[in-house]
Amino acid sequence: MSVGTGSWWDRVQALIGVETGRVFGWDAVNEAMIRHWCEATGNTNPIHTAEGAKSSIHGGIVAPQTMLQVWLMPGFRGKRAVGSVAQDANDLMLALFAEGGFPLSIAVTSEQEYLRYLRPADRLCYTSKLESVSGRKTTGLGTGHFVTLFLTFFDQDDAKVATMRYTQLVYCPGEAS
Amino acid sequence: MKSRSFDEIEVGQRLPPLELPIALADVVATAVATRDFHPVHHDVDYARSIGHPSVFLNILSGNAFVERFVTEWSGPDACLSAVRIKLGVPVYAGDRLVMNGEVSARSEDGGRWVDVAVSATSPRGAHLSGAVRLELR
Repeated sequence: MSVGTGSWWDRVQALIGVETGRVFGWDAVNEAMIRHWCEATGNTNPIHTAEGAKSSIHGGIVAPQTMLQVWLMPGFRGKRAVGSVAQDANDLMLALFAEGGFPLSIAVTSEQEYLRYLRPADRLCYTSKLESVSGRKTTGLGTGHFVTLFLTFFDQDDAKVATMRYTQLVYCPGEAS
Repeated sequence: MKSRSFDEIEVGQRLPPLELPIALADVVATAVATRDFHPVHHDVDYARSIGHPSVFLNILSGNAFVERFVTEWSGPDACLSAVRIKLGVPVYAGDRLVMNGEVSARSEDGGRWVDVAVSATSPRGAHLSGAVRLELR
């Protein structure tokens, strides 16, 4: 790994691999949020409507797979649902990087794997950890680090339902290194 | 929406392209529907203040359009088991996005599945590239 700024870089390294506790979703998987999402994204797959899904291979409505993260978003007030840890791995990482002079982040890659389709009344939570941090890079947006997080999603029975590996560029805009 | 069977699918098969004109309202509606209230997705002044020409689609919407694009081709019987995307240039309000896809793998090893390589481009360049794994009957 290249350059850091001494103790700040040590603190970044110390965060790698540390799994943070559970973050819960505000709402159980539900038909209304599925419908709003399908309306906004133009998705007309009949498995996502109660009527259309009856005769489908699922036998009833299922959520779109790529809604996975939607069920766990903190929402407009940025507050996590009851029972959640105050900060997940992403929050801890972003706070530390802001302190280190990298206040902005932008998504670079997302890899999601799904073990099953989610149905109304499923209640999700996830655990997360910082998986890796690149050395300092200069890009068109500014100077920063590529940071990869790994999330594991569980249902109400503690069964794993999905995983996600997510890489962001966490950067300082326009700064030449 | 008709379902495509495993036997009808071959490696190299191309998906019909999907054209998506992305208006300011689409950027905001998809951000809200995905519960992503970051100002880069709804506040044009904020987006400009940090160097963007306008607000842009969030990553959850990129994933959503990939799922829509692939399942419009596969039909409702195909089950998504993985979606992997790499983002390039952002899609800003007013951009026209075009999605293309091609079957890149087909296997009966561990169930019947196919991989579809997808890309989405706007006049600004490559917005995303990725792959979707579909399980079929």
